[in-house]
Amino acid sequence: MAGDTVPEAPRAPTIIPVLVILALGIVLPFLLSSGFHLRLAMLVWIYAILCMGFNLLYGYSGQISLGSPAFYAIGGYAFAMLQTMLGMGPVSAFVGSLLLVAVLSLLIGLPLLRLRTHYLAMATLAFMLVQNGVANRWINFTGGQSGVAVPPLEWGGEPIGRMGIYFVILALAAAVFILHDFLIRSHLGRAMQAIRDDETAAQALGVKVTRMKLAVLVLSAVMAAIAGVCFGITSLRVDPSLSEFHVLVSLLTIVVVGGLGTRFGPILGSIIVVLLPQLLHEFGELETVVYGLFILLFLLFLPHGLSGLLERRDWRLRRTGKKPAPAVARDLKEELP
Amino acid sequence: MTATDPLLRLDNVTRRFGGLVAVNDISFQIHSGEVKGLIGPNGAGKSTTFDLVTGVRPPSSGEVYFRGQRVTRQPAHTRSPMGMARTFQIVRLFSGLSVLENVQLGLHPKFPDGIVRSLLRLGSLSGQERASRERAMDLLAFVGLADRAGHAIDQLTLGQLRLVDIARALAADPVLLMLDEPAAGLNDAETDNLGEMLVRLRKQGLSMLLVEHDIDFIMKACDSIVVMDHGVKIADGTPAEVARNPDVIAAYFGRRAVHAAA
Ligand SMILES: Nc1ncnc2c1ncn2[C@@H]1O[C@H](COP(=O)(O)OP(=O)(O)O)[C@@H](O)[C@H]1O
Ligand SMILES: [Mg+2]
Repeated sequence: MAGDTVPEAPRAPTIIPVLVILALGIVLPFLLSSGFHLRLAMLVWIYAILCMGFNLLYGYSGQISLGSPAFYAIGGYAFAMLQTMLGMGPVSAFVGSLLLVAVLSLLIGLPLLRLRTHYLAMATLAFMLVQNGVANRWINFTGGQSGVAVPPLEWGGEPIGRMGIYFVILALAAAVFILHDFLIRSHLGRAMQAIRDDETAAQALGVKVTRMKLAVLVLSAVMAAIAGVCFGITSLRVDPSLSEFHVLVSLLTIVVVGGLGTRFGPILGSIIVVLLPQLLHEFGELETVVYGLFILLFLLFLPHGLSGLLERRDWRLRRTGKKPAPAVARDLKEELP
Repeated sequence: MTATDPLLRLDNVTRRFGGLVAVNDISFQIHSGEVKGLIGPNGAGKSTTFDLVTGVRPPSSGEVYFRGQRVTRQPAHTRSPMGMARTFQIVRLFSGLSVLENVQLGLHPKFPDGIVRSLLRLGSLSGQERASRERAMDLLAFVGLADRAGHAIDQLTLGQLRLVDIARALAADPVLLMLDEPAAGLNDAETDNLGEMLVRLRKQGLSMLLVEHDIDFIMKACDSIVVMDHGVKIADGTPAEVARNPDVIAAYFGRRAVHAAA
């Protein structure tokens, strides 16, 4: 037999690895020497937030929705514009932008989630293109190519420094990460995977498939919006590049490299996708080629991504804490009280 | 629901696929504790009848009542909490989940519903998860597959997959268990094992609707039998009555005899 473990591992037994990763995130900025490195670290978290939402939607629930970059952009724009146009404070603008994206994704999800596989992918891709078109062309409202400025975050009248911004982003990433992890390890993650593998069977077992898909779509959109807000507070500007094609490509690369439908895939994938280009600078003109080759090697040799390497599924038997009973049928009266 | 009401009642249920009438004006009842067989040649409409009863697709006309409630147009996910469980003719297990998790999914309706409610009941969730795991292990032991709990679905034989499917269906403590050709593709030993298991479930008072091709199997296992042919009900009675019915002999046994002769 090809090994007695299942290849991917969602509901692992403890939250400890999550806390370890977050602890590393807290220590990290004190180890980094330059502002540039700190900015890369923030970018890793921002992409991780974006991709965790996508992971829940596509990796776990099997819904190939490509709308994430649009919600990412709308989150960033709404956060900026609620402040500059309506004079909201940053906290209410943050809440407002998440609410806006939640409502929008609900309205889009209601008709679109009836579509399956590549139809859903096409429809959500179209949504992304429309959003990007609006951001580019409705210049009076969105600022066109140059986008909108995001007011810097302040604390006691002073702008928050880079370090402070890092910890704001880390806090938001931690919230998303813990929620992502909770969902994956709970009965809800199990139901999401059931929907991904066989909707009809899931429904027959009492899973409210439509409602669950909608809930995950809204949640992933809100996570994308949180990432958009984070991008806004680090870059102090949001522009149409947030929902350009390369963001979608990064997103897909991250989940594939990290491991689709795995617990730590989005974070590991984000680290690779943000750092790899930096390491490949010395290849000069060949950089893109080497990058492409690298991704190809990942696909060939690590079909379950980096996370697939770390997460083994043999914990399942250990977790039950029982010695497996011998393979004979026991009396029903004992078993079904 | 009064004591005399049937557990399941189909009233003139019809389902069309374009011009084809897959299920044509079918009515029958299952009483509490009864094991009903549903037989008929291939394409008779048995699996479609299953789908109509379980809400996978709505009937074109007619009504379905379960435990005195009209469920004709209720979505499929409402059945499990009401006590109806089914298996599929082509095994539909979740390939990304382990054997144990597949069975645990049968307990899904017992968990808090939705993300917000689950977060509000965070405290009791881990206990509930542990209980569901134990219950799923017990069910796997009942079907004789406890040692396969941590395995991937693709590591099991067809016979084992059918047993996992049954364990998963039993997880929610159903009052009506519907099995669509559970013995298909099983060898003799596995079929015997399955037969014994169904006898034990029957003794527990579980009501069943059983689709099966194996006539001997169904004659032994059922209290009464509905026979379908080309979507139409051609007989309904005890195994002995059905076996004597000339229409059944013509439509079912006759055709088989012809096949056997050919
Ligand atoms: N989804 C479908 N679309 C069109 N025709 C179908 C569909 N499902 C079943 N049928 C047709 O309905 C008839 C009954 O099929 P089915 O209920 O599967 O029969 P059985 O389970 O008794 O073998 C067959 O002629 C089959 O081809
Ligand atoms: Mg059939």
